[in-house]
Amino acid sequence: MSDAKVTMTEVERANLGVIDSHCRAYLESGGREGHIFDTSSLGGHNFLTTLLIETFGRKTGQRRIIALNYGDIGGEVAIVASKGGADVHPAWYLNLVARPELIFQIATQAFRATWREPAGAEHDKVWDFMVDAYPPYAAYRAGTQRAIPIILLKPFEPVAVLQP
Amino acid sequence: MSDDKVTMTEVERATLEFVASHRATYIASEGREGHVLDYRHLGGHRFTTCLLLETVGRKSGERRITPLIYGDTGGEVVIVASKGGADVHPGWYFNIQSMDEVTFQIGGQAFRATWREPEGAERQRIWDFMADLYPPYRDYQAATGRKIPIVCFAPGDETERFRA
Repeated sequence: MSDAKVTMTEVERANLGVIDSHCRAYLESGGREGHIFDTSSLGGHNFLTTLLIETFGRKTGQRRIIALNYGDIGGEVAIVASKGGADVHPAWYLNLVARPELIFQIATQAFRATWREPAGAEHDKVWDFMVDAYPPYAAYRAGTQRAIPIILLKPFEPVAVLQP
Repeated sequence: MSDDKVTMTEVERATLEFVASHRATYIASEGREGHVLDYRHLGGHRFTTCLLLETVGRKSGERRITPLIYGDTGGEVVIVASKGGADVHPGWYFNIQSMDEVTFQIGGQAFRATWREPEGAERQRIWDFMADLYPPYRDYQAATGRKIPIVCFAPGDETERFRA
């Protein structure tokens, strides 16, 4: 065992192709495909809802779109910065928290949203909900010392769907 | 106050036209419109997700498509037979009693599914989750002596979208 931080896990490496093609199909279809995703081959349920988020590189300013699992809880949309259980935060998380707002897309509808990080009992409740939605999160958390962040998105305005 | 059963509530009556146009738009747009709605005017959230449920009339044999609020938890899709707090169950709930499988559509994706009614502590947990998604459910339950049923769908194969 090495003490070096794991910046990309085996899970992430193995799923890179699937994740990339899923994101591309979602984006290029304008959200008609990709929203509900069968994750049984990844250890999840055959029914998992996914969204697209748009972020901008905090150093480069470069626009990036990625697909993530989400849960809908009390009118807010939860996403998990798991990075497959790596010891570092995913780039999208660092980019997201550098700005007060972002755009996300669910199926064919996109929204401008604010975000917050739930704390304490609320954090635990959302975490449990997200593990039920995607059970591999439990193993991801067990595999790292990092506290895996959860973000709650609060949409406030409909906008045009994301373009590739 | 009368002892008569309320078979249609004021809320239902007031939203009849809206429900009809919601259904028509959802189907005609192939799920591009109607999935995420703003229900603040009804006491709900800015972000509320809706599906289409297809049932077959138990007496008429007629195919019926009903738009309903849904939540998803642990890989299952949840709907609530609230009928706006009426004292009778909605037609779709009676109809599914004689159906082993149903079809529902979320956005542009439709699925065959089996269904079940959660009980005990699980039912309470799912009720709380759904009431957080759509707070008026709590008022609906308070308005009727009927115990409002909750139905969970376990999605199976993806199938063709609904057509008008």
